[in-house]
Amino acid sequence: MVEVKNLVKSYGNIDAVKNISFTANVGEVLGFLGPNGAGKSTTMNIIAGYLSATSGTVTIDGYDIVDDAIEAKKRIGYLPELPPVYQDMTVKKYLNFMYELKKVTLPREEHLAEIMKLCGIDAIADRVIRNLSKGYRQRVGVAQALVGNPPVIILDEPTVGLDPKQIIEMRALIKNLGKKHAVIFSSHVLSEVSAVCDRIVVISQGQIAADEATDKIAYMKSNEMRLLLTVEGNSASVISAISAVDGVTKVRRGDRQSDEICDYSVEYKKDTDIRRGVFRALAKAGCPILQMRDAGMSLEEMFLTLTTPTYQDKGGKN
Amino acid sequence: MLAIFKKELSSYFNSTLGYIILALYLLFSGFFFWMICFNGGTNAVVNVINYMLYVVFFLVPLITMKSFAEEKRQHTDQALFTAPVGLWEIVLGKYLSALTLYVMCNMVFIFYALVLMAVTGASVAWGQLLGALFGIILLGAALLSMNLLFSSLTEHQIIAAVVGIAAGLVIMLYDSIVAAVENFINTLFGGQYEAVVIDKLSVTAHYENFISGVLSPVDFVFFLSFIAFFLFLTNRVLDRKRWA
Repeated sequence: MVEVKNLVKSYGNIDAVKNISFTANVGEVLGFLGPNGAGKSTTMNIIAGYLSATSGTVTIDGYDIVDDAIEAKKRIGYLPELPPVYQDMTVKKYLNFMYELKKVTLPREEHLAEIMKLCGIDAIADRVIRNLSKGYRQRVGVAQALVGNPPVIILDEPTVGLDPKQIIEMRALIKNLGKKHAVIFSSHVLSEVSAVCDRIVVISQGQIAADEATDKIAYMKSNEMRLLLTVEGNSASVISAISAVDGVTKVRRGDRQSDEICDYSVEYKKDTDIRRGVFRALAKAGCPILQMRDAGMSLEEMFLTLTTPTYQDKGGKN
Repeated sequence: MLAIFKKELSSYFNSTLGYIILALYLLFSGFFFWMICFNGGTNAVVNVINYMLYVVFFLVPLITMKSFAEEKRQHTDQALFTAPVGLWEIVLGKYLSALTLYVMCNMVFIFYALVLMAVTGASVAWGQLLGALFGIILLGAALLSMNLLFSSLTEHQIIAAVVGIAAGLVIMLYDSIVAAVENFINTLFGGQYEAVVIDKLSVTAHYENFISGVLSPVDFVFFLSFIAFFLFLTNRVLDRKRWA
């Protein structure tokens, strides 16, 4: 549905977006993840046709966003970083304006009522937007994006400024939208992205650092296979028991929690699963395992690895 | 385009701006009307328009100062420019709504003429009045297009208004400026040079024909080109922003 190809956006000598390509399909929530200033908003503005790219193309359902702008824009609902709401209008008036602006042909009353209900703003339909809280304004912004029921929905940080309850509602809404639309949604909140998205595109310094299914992404960058254990028993016998397990390459003792209880870090070969072996070996040695977890990178660690430039990169830039 | 036109027009009257502009227009024109027609004891409503021509230069920038500047400041331009409408629809929608407000202001002169007829029983030269009305509307329409451009160039409505008023002053004093430059060059080089082409660009010279009741196609084409030129520039400025 959305096809982004070799997108580049330069401001003078600065490249805000460097050669980004990805696709988003109907029935999919695509998470756009990256630290502040990574080029998320710029990319989204280009996809929505607000900015133009220095080079590269964006096509929506086969329509180019520059050459067939009107046809392409008909298929996009866009919530920019700040909701584009008119302060002096009531919610209802504003949505009616957006309805007319987008030249929607769906039955007006029903369509707008449905959207307002979906976004939870039907109770404030007659209030002036100026007097609404940030959370409600954000929801009005989302409602505006849904007017006309476009197949592609682009939401730039839709949960910023919402309270925890609203965040949960917003996530549910986005997930729900993902069933029938192609949703591209940006955030720098990792837990949110992993909770809502089917696929994550990580963007860092204007480039795509990863484009993977959500459940795979956490493991893709971890070369290190490590198991963290808390075991009760004499450390020498624990170490020797673990070392004997097939696939284990290195055992290190960590912090001692008490005389008998100690943390261990076990490294093992890639593509092996040593958990059962470790369990049996320690059972045999009479050392109970109090805790065992895989140290495969958490989403946070993955994010940092992907988005923190290495020293070499820094040296090269200066 | 209709959606934007409607929204703009209603936003003039949802905020205080529309009322302030109308009130200022009534205040100034009412004052001149009283001075000329009642105090002065004449039936020349045309002269009221003559005086108002100077006020228009200061009032028109207020009508358009918000048009694009405020959209940019509130980030609502993102909704406009990502909606499936062409840039021209946006520019024309904004322009026509501003023009509508301005024409509404000017309808007051017809009211004055009717009041004069009713109160004093004097006859009013309608042909001359309508010609002058046409002139002041065309002048305003031209200034509006120029001020719409200024609004598209900044995020601050005050800057748009101040620049608009300054540019209005230049237009108002254009003939004097050209004459002064002519004079300066002639004293400097001791010749008898005369400005060509440049003096034809005088806006005031063109509307004075309307005021005196002469409807010539030349003036008409001049104003229409002026409007088209500035609307085109506005369109380009808005488009350029995307490419910058």
